[in-house]
Amino acid sequence: MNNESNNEGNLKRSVRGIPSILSKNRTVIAVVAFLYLIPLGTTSSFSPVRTLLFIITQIMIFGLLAMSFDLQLGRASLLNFGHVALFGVGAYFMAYTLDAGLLPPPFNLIATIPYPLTLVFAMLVGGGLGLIMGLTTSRMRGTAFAFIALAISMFIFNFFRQNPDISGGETGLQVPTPDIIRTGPFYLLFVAIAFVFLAAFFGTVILYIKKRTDYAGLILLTPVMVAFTGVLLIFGTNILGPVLVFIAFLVMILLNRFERSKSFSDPLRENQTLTGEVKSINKLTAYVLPFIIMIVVLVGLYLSFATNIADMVLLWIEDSSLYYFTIPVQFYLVLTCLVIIYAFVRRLIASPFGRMITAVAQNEERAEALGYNSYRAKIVVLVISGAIASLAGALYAPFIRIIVPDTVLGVEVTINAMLYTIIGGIATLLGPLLGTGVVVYSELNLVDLIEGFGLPGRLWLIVLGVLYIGIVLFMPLGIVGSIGRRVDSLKGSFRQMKVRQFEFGLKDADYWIFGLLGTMGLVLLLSEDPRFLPISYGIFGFLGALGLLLMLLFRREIASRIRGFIKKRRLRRRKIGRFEFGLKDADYWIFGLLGTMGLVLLLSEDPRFLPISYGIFGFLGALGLLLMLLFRREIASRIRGFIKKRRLRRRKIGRFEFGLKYVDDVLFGSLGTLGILLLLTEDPRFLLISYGIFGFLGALGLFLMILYRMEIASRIRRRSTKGGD
Amino acid sequence: MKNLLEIHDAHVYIGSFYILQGVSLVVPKGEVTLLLGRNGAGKTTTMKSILGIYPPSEGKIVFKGEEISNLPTHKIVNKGIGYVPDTRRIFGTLTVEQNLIISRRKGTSKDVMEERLELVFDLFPDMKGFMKQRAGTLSGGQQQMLAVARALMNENDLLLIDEPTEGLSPLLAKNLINALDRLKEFATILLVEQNFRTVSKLGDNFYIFDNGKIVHEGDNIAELIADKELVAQYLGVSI
Amino acid sequence: MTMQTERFSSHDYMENHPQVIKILVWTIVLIVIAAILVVVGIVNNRLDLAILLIVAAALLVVAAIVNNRLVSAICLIVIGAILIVVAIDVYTLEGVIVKASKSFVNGLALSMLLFLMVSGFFLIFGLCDVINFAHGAFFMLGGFMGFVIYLGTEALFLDPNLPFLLLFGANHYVMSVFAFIVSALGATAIMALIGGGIEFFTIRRLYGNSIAQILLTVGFMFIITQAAEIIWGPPQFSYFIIPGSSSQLDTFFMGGVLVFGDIIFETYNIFLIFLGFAVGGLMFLGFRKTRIGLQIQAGIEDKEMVEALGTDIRKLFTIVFMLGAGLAGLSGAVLVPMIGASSGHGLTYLIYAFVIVVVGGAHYGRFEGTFFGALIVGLSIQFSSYFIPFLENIIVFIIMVIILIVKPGGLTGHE
Repeated sequence: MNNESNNEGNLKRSVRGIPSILSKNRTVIAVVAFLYLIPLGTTSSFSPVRTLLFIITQIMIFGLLAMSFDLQLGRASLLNFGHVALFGVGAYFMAYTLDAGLLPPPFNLIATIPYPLTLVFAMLVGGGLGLIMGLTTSRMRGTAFAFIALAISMFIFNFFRQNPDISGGETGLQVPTPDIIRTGPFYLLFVAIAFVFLAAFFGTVILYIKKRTDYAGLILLTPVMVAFTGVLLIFGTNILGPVLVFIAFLVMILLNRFERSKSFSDPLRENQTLTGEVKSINKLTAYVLPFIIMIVVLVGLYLSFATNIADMVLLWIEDSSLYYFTIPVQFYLVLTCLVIIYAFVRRLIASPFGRMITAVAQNEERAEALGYNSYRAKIVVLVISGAIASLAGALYAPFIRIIVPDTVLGVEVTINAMLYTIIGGIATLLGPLLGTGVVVYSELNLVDLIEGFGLPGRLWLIVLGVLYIGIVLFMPLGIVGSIGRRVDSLKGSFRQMKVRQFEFGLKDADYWIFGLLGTMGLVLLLSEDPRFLPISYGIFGFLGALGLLLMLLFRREIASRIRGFIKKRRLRRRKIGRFEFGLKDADYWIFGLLGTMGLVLLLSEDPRFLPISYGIFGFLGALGLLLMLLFRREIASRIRGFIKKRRLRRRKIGRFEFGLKYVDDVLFGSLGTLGILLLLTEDPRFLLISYGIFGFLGALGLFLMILYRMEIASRIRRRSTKGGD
Repeated sequence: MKNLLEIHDAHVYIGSFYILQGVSLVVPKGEVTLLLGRNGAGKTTTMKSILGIYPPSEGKIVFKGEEISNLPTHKIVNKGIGYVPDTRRIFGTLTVEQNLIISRRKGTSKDVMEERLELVFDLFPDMKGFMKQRAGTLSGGQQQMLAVARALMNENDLLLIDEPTEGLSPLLAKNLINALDRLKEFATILLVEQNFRTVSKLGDNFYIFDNGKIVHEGDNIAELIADKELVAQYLGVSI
Repeated sequence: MTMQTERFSSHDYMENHPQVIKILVWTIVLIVIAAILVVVGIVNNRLDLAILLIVAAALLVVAAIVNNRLVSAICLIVIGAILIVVAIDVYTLEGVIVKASKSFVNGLALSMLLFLMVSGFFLIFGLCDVINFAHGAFFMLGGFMGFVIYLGTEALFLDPNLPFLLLFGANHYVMSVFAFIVSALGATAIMALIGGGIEFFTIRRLYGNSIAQILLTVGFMFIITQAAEIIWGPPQFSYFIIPGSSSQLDTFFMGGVLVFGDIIFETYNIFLIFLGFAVGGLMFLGFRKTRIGLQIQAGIEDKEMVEALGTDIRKLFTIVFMLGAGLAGLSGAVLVPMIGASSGHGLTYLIYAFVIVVVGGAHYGRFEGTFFGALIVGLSIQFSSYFIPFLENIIVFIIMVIILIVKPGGLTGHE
């Protein structure tokens, strides 16, 4: 009896723990939920989503490989130049377990292992090879490990290449798709997982809205609402689904309003906001309403995709051997593996063992003096990362369907994993994944572009190499690392500042929105489906507009900073040698010229000029981004000042109080969203309504402008006089 | 210009370790200055920061009236500093002669080196016998002679000598001290030595280091030898 | 309750019983030798000989381990007998002598040039602590440079509009000699400039961070290889200097063969042996006699001390990089007539460089180690290509593993 109550208590505790788990992993959950959503959009007929799924699956597999590479390089400072061997043995092992005819009789018994188990066995094989590599580290200290690892991988590569009977030689080995991947229930299992993740995502959104009770949170949430509903609208087959989800979003906001109005008078609650924990006493708003919202969301999601899911199941009944049936299932399988491995590695790094590895990597002798066994730590890292790399190989073989020694065992694969890791960010969890995505995406697009000029597409690889060298030299932490380090200080600066009760600064809790939006935009852009373009343009437009606004607001600071920066730089440079670089006043005409040239070239619409103008804008944009990173403190304080001014001025205008309040903004937001949604449906019947909405909004805007012309004029005057001096 | 070398409030970090915590000292021209203290007190680090191997993050080092704190090592050395490191650090794969050849700096003419070689043979007559031998095969005392000889190949104004008698037999140590005594006429010497009694005849200026700071300084070493309490506290020698 | 006194530790056991290690090591060596011999026997259809040789090796091991003099003597006599039998048999075996002598000459030629290339790699590793992954790419690019410069020089001579035609008239042989010298020196100079530039502008910024330096050199390897593949095509294409075909001259000064009865050598390979010895000897002399050579040697031992003696170590690093890359370029260029120029050579020869350095002793190793390492690798590649072709690409790794088991620090290094 005691036990039972204990169990119950445990259960209760774990259920209560869910919200905190959700809010701790917002970005990951949001992105993963979105990725799980994509395959639901596939139907039996041809759909561009399949190409997208194929590319993302490939990115995820190589992302896994890069992740395992980074586990060695970033965490344990082991440069494993034979990493590909771990990948290759996984791939070949998987091939042998899937086709009994590939190996001579005594060995082909491994083909009797059922499929999902073989993934585990492949991991064991990879771990074993990792162990062998690890044992050699006792012989060679430090960087010389790269020698031995490369020799081992070359040995395996040559062995496979010179025995075409087992490796398929240059024509390659045909790898059959595992049977279980072609079954409907397996697919439905993943669909169920997808719904769980989507529910978790909406759970995080509810928690977020409950916590973010102010104005800024809603502004940030609006694009998510719009984009998510838009995706559902295009992926799904039923218009009712997105409408339901959108309504659910609105209800969430109302829920927040409701709670907020109730709790403003409560002094205790203020305290609770500071600690970040929101616990409402009201059972209705705390449990019942969120539950209802979740139900509505799930029903909406189901309505959107019911036809697609049914189509897929029908396809399984009719002919499961079809290639395009397996693509979504493989996507799900790889995604699930990736999520599991990601969670595992994250825990591993946070564990005492993870800290020990870092200690060993930083200073082996000191770590040994402290009593760590550096040799054993390195071996464990190699075994774990070997298992992960082998898993990547095992997933890759049936996915790509033909494996050749050169593509799964060649040194090029190691170099690619290295490029992905370095560009994404060494010793970061998301870096290798992001790096893989960025490189693969740019490759897909740039090769076409370069070949369009009649140049060899491989030129792209040289560009990649130069980029890589630049990152090693100037941004040793890679994309994620460099940004991550700045984000930390940014977060810190926001936390310190307080403007009355009205807090606008981005909190920790807000960053998931940018993560999700960025991913969505990238993925949708990747799909090259014209229907998604408006959404992804919208997302990037929103992010870009935010950036532009900030730059306009802070141009003065930027200028002074630039001056200070240049001065500093020059000083630093001068010390280094005779080599002077710093930008002088006389240099700015170059930027002006570049900008004009870029614009003119863009306007000429001549495709030959496009790359040049892209290059120019890319350069200027990169410069701008750099500046934004440099001046993040000023930007934050300016935003705060700006908002305060707005509100004060509104109050001052006189008897005529018009000022938009909180509730009104929600109204405008929803109106705008609705208008855009209706426009997107391309149904002529809705057109009139959406015109009406936009007309109303436009008229309102005009009216406001007329109303505030004085203020606007004086503002402009002030700005221009300020600009003069 | 009385002081050949001045260190003003030098702070040195090695990695994340705060080694020298504000050291100031002067080395008067033409005299021998002793740095005393326990192991790890910061004496060798002081020498290495003079050489620019561990440049000070704060404070400055002035040599012959010029600031040298932020110069690269080879430029500092070329201003006229010879270095005899604590663990000898001779080049074992080269012969003794080759060791001496690469010790001659670009600014030093070959005639000067010939002259100095005579001096070295005068100081250490044994060296003539093993000029062609590989330095790695020499005994400890011979290696120490080579290490000192290496610093003499150029016309240096300042010699930094770190623990010259460490690991030598008393007889060899005495010979070496006698040799150093003769070197006083050629250059100013900054000497690190644990065994201060054996070098007390070389000079009177001394600084005592403890935990990266100078805790005591004086210009009469005889007084130090008499002050048993001080010796016991900072030099770890009880009598 | 019994206390567990001590856990069995194989490491302690080994330390207490050194003869066990000896026996174990010898057994492993024996097994490897046996495996190689059996493989050779199967390939040549002479399993009987292989078994005889295995018996001989086993007896040798017994003689080495056993302390009894009588047993050792008997073993040695039997070994002698077996060897005589094998020798007689082999001598009459069709083509073995021919194959052996050919692989010896070719292997020696390859070894000498590998030594030149790897000594550059070794110098960079020893002095600057940089594992130069771009070294193979330097070698490969040096080959292409040599090829291009050779063809360019001869085109210059043959161009009727230019005054060079008068210089040698129609003497194609002299032209060929001259073009060869120009191509070798040109490739050396160009690669030295590239290597020095890479050091000066990029690697110099990262001293003290060895992993970042390696990553950087990997980047350069990547770029150079990709560029070569764009310009000269994938690794499947090899470029040779063929008189009358790729070359406009009707002769190559060291073309043709030397005939000794049944045995036919390519003249160029013999020339390469002498060239390799000459350049290697010059290098040795340089390291013994010149100030910079001595400084480099001293720097490999103790960089900080060299700096404290007043040498600009950074300048030395740049010089060593130029020297290393130049040697890679030189060896690449003079190897073109033997192995051709191909964009795939970068990786292949990078790996040979690794193996040689590991075999010769990577840490605190000496030049001699590199020399013997190159000899072992070059000879074993050529011998296996004639006798056990399917091991051609793997043999170097097997040798490396054996040497690492027997001497963990390589031939001259110590761990």
